[in-house]
Amino acid sequence: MALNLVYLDDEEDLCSLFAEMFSSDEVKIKTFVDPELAIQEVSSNPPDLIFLDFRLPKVTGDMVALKMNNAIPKVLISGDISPITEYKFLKIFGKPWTVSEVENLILEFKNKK
Amino acid sequence: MDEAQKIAKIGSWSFDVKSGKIDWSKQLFSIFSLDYRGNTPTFEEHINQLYFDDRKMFVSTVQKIIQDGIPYRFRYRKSDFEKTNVWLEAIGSAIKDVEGNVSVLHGTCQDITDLVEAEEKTKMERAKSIHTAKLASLGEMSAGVAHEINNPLAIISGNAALLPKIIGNPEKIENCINAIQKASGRIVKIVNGLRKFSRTSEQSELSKNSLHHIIHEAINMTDSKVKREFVVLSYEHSSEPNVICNEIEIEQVLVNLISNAVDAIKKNDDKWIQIKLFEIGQQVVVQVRDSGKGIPKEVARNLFQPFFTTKAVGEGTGLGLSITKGILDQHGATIEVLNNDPNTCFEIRIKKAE
Repeated sequence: MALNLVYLDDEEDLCSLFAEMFSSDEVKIKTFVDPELAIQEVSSNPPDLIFLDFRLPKVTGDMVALKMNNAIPKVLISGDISPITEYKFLKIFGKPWTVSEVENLILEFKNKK
Repeated sequence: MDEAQKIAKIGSWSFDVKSGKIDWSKQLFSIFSLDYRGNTPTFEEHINQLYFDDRKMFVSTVQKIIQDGIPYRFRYRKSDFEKTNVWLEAIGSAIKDVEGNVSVLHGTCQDITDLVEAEEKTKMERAKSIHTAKLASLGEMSAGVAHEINNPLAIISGNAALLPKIIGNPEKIENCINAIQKASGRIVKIVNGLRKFSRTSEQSELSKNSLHHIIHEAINMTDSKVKREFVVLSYEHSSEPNVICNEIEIEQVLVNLISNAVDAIKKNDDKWIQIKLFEIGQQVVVQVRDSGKGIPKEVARNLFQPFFTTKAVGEGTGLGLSITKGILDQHGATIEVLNNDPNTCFEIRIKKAE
């Protein structure tokens, strides 16, 4: 069974890059630039792992995480030097992220599945 | 008299236009390092004692007073082989005869080197304090700037990593290259803005500039800070007037005002900043209004004093608004907090360029 990921970032280029880079038959990725749509998707089709950008136009990834199912592991991706978060994220990746750090995490989840 | 002139480093002279007779006081000889017991220099000899670049201006000013009798006051330099600048201030006026022709010129010449050096020092200190405040603003903005650079950097590095995977797909390669170029352009814009903003004000002289353009630059500089605090910034302009200014300094003023506005409202529920540019007669008005509820009178009184701050310890130097006011004073412009506004509004008025 494929691993389902949700990626939220207000940068469209980063969304398409993430999908292009990590999508495969075994990894299905849905990307969103609008936090509300991402929250709705997670609520109706819970993924295995969620990637959230920290600085979004009107909210932070922290605020978005609080509105999503707490049981789903979440990774924060941020261009900030040291993002201050209240939410307990599984991991925090800085921008620019490296392919290997994201690949290794996806592989870890694929193996678990 | 000689003693008084010696103390004041001031010499006096007179010139009878008809006879050509020139008289110098003892102190004037001393200013030009001449022995007062010798002959008084002729006009031509005196010109040769002046700094080469100032000679033409000196001669034309004297010719003008002989012709029109209009008094003068100007600064010039003495030629000095010891390579130290000796600054002099000349004041001269004319006495006319019954027919209205200039008959006698007389005036003073004062060694003002100490004054000029003090003025230069003050100018340098002022430029230094503006630059320090600017670096403080950059420091405050650095966290936001890092975010603004890291995003396009992620696009560049991600697409560079993607390229080997899509080598056989020209359409995807083209998309990749376009994304890299677009992201590189964003970084270039940020870095250029920082470079321009970091220049010392000495590197930019007074010139005719579009205030609309300067406001845009200031908005770009503060964009990351504004976004970071989820502040909605709007800008309206009814014209695009030019003003004579040092554009780097005026940008610094606007960056200070926007940055202060963000700090003042960042904890409010309603967060907005409106910038307006319009003209009233020969004046150009810039208003920076935020969603705050005004500034109490007792605070407004001290607002432009150095080191006065309402920010928490460690959050502000208190130099921002005093430097803002200092820069505007130098431009003959004014700044005030509008008392009759329901929100917090700083208004700048500056003369429109002809």
